[in-house]
Amino acid sequence: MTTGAPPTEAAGPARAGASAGRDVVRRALSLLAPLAGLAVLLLVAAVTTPGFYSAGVLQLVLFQIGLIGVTAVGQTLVLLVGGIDLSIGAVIGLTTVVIAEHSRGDGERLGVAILLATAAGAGVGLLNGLLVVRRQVPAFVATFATFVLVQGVITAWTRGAPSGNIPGELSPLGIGRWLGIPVPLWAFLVVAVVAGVVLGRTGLGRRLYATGANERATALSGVRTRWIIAGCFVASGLLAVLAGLINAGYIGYVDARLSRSLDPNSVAAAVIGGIALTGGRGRIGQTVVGVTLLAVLLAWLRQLGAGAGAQLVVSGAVILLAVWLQGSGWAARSPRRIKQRDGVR
Amino acid sequence: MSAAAALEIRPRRFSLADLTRTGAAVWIVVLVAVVALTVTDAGGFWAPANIANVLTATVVLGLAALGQHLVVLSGGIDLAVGSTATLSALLTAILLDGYPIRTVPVLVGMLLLGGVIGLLHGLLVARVGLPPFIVTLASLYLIQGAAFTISTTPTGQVTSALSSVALQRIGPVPYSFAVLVVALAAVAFALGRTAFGRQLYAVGGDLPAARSSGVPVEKVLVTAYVLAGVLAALAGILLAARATIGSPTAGQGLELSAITVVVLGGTSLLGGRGSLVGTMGGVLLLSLVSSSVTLLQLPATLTELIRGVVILAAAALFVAKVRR
Repeated sequence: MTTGAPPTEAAGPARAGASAGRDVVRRALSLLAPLAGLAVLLLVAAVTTPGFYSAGVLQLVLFQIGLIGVTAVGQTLVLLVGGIDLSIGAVIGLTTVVIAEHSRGDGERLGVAILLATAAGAGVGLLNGLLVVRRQVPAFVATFATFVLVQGVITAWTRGAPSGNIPGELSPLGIGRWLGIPVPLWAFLVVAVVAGVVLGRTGLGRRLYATGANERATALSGVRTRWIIAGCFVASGLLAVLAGLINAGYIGYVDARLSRSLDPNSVAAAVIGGIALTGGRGRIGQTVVGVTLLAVLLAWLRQLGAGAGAQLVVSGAVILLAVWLQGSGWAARSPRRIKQRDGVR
Repeated sequence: MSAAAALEIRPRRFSLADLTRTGAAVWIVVLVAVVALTVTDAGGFWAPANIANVLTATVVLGLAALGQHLVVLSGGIDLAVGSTATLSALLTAILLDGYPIRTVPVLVGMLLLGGVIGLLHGLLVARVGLPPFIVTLASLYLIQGAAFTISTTPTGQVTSALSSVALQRIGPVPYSFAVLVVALAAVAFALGRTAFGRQLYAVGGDLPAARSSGVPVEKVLVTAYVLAGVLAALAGILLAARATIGSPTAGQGLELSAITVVVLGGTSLLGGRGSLVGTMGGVLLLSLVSSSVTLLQLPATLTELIRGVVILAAAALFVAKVRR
């Protein structure tokens, strides 16, 4: 994973030159496919579920976009450097438990609790990063292992029964609105814009893409790729903490099932938007479209009366379909990727 | 490059990497654990009931690990082992519902189900060319979601004959241990004595080279995933038999435990190299760890934490650093 993708794949935005015109068309196409999916979905939803375009459902969709979106940005960063972060769900659960256990519903202790949760999230991200960078553990093994470890920590710490209240001071982050739009959506927009600017307009972003496209070559040209990869995992952990705070503010109590959540949403949203699993390709704009598509899809399913199980099924199917389509080339740049297996990822 | 050459010229000497690779390291750790447990509580540890506990714990994990071993040897990974076992356990209990007459068709059906799941994995990996981890990760979500859709609470009922296979024992050896021994013998035979085994090592070691030398790469890969699916379904049946009912969370975490024991046994996650003896040592080690929580009367809530630490340590210490 960390030794990098085969050199046949060029970095997305870093590529310049004669084919600029075709590039623009390709970029538009890569956004167009998920957008078309979204349009079809909105139409189908309108036909099958009459109440879909009510204010209540819309607010829920916007909240979902915010919550999934924050984690999906972190996931995108990790995917771009050729990794994957499966520990996001566990960090969201850990954040909720830390807030509840430390503050016990007392607003004055909220500040310290948030600091503790942030430190915990950064710690998990750092652990992931170190395992991947220093020990060359495949990212999905490393982050799955920390997922289990964090679950174990939660169970041991709370003796299997998490309790405590979330301070009311946190609820504006979950249920608040500003200019009629849910605060979580604002949080997502801010995070997405910052990530988009860093990725698209700064040297750091270019180094990040280069690391994902071909780590070895990038490292040989003097970029500290290990720091960049580890940094992406830490950023993903921190964004998962933010998602955890939003979620805690929204539900207002500790949901014991939360720490068991497999949480496929961030991966699903990123790949559905067209972020390549091989690293180095994809932009935040695609993630935003993917998040919107997934949130609408999940809201529609809920309107149809689907339970948590059916939502998990759909997320799994979406990941599979998106990766399949990527492989067949609607979002991918290099047509020779199919049938090319580059070791365990 | 010169360092590697120098290493080969030097006469063979004691090396930690060699120990890990051949699976000897994990057996040394098992030995240390056994000695430590004997010192702490000899009577309790060597009591037939406790030995039976350890051996029972090896059965489900061992079956899942055998399948994982095959897939990892092929250079892939199967993250859906746990959820396949879950679905199989749940469906076994629901479909049997306590009627002995249904036993054979249901059990055969479950093994077929596991085979079909494995077939889909294999086709997506070998024919479509998708990365194994994302195929089986998506499949993990799909199958777990399907299990939750069927039931969110434990339900169903296995027959008393089936549960006695899991629960009764002769001396310290539970009946179900025979299932693991048979499966182990079958996998060892397939790996060591058949063309499939040799081709599996070849495909995992260097896929393009295997293809150009005429190995039916797709068939070998699909076979590995099908076997993993069948073994996972078998593990699920025994999970149901042990619990006497089916639970939609029965096999949760089994996929990572299976990967852990394969890695502990010195098998390379890059494929093509691994030792079945080591994998079985890993199974025994993880079973010892989980059963000693009860033996040492530690709080049950610590089990998960200990498992997490072991898994993380295995990932950090045993995953091969050297790339081919």
